[in-house]
Amino acid sequence: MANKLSAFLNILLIAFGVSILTILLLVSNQIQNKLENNARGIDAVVGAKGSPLQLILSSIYYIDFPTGNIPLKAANELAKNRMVKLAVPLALGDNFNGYRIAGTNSSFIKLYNLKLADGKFWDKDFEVTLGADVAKTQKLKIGDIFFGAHGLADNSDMHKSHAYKVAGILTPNANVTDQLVITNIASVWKMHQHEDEHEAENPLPQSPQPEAEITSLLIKYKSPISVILFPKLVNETTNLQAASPAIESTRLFSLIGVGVDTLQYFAILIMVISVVSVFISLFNSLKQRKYDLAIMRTMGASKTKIFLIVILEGFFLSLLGTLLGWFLGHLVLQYLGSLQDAGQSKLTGFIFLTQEFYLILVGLCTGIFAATLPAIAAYRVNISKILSTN
Amino acid sequence: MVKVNSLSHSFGNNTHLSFPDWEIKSGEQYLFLGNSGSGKTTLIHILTGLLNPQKGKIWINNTDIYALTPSKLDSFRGKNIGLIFQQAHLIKSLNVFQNLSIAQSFAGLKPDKQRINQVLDVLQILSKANNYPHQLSQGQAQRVAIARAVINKPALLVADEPTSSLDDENAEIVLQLLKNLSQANGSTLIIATHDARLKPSFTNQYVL
Repeated sequence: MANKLSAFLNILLIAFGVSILTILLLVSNQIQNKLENNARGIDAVVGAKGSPLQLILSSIYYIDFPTGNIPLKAANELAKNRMVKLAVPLALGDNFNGYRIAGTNSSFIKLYNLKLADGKFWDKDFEVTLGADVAKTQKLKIGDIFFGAHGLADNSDMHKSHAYKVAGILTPNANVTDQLVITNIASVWKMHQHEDEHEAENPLPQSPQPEAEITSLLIKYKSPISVILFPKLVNETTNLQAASPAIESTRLFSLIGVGVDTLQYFAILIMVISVVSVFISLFNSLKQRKYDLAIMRTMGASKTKIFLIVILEGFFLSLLGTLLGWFLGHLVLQYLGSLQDAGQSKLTGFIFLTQEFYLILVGLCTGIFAATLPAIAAYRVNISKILSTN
Repeated sequence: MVKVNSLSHSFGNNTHLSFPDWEIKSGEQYLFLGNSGSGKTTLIHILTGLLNPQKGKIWINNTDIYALTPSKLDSFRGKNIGLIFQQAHLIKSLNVFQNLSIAQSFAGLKPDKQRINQVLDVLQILSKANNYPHQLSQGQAQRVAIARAVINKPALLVADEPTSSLDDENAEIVLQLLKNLSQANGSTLIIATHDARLKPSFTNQYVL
């Protein structure tokens, strides 16, 4: 290409389009995978009334705040319902350096099919089993102790009175359990009871011992029929609500989907602009190089060869642009992933999908497509006329 | 070697050109004289297979060149005809050496580094092999253009106004180079010009 700057700009334009599409593809794929992996085996979540999406987000994906607490008694009654195959209680409220501390019982192991890499599962109060990521990033090993902090994300309010002790470490599970600190429910309760006593400096008249509460209950049905019946039962006969991960995930994804679609159109628009830009600059450079091409013809190059030379030029532009964009897309996503909070499963740029192959193919086609008309013009060039107009 | 037979061509704007028959034996050197507008360039283009004439035939090496398919004609031209223009018209993005090797490859011949160096040496521009066209003087560029035209040892070497933009000294040098090179390569030479300075050097003339 005669003009290096315009070649560079064209490559950049193609690269932007391709990198945005790459990022979108990877992000939506990873989010969808994560949504599916984390919700696997959970048919319903029972929690305090509020937004069902919020309940699902907090109890399955551990991203939002819980809707509130529910009485343990009511939860236990529901757990005994004959439609329920497995009921896993969850008590949330604390975190360790951004990783959530989840109080639960041994049914949690069964629900997520947890396996130990080291040590044993949590058993006594203040014993914890760590998700693989937590152990790795916090450099904790069996026997180490640490303090939790109140709240779900920040470190400001430490529970200094009780220390957790690492009893075991899980194998990587490729779902949210990798980012959890798991203990028994009593530990979570005791942590907070103690705190209450500590803080109450001039106690009000003691109310009767507050009822034991948990955050939510993860439910697995005995039969698929319960999909309709169980939520209806919960929502109509109790003060609680039952939310379906399947429905809420779909809703969530359709909400994200709007954004993904918009970005997708944006990226496609950039690709179209890059096609037009490559087209214009090839056509312009063709004007300058008509003479070169005519000279090539006098040296014995056939029309087809001239056609291919122009096409090849478009192809190389798009090859460079596409590879650059693809590489950038992965790099940027990896960087974005590294900026994410510790407590969440991170996005990674080091995953490669088969759909990317098609994306690269489309990227390569843009250049060839943009070069077609200029190439035809070059093919049809009347050498005698060009050489005569000196 | 070259035969021009009852040739005529007309352009849309009522210009009708007809050319006298012309026969050139192998190895002959011809001066082709004609004022501008006489159809000199048109005949050169027809001779070299760049412009399909409306009437008449061109035979080169016993080949009726306009009976060939377009792509065959292109490759015939690449192998058998060397063309030199008033301007050098080198490919700007390639250096001198590459300008010559691309001429070999367009003609469908294998790259021959030795041949390129030999031709550059004869034309005394071997030291410029790695230079780009914009780094050359006009005389040097013209010599590269000549090197490009003779690189494939064409049977027919055609130069269109090769000396018009050169001073007396350089015009003489270019003329001698063309004559010597075509002799060395066994090429038939046609120099088309209106440059009267060249007249004394040729016994064979074709006048339009």
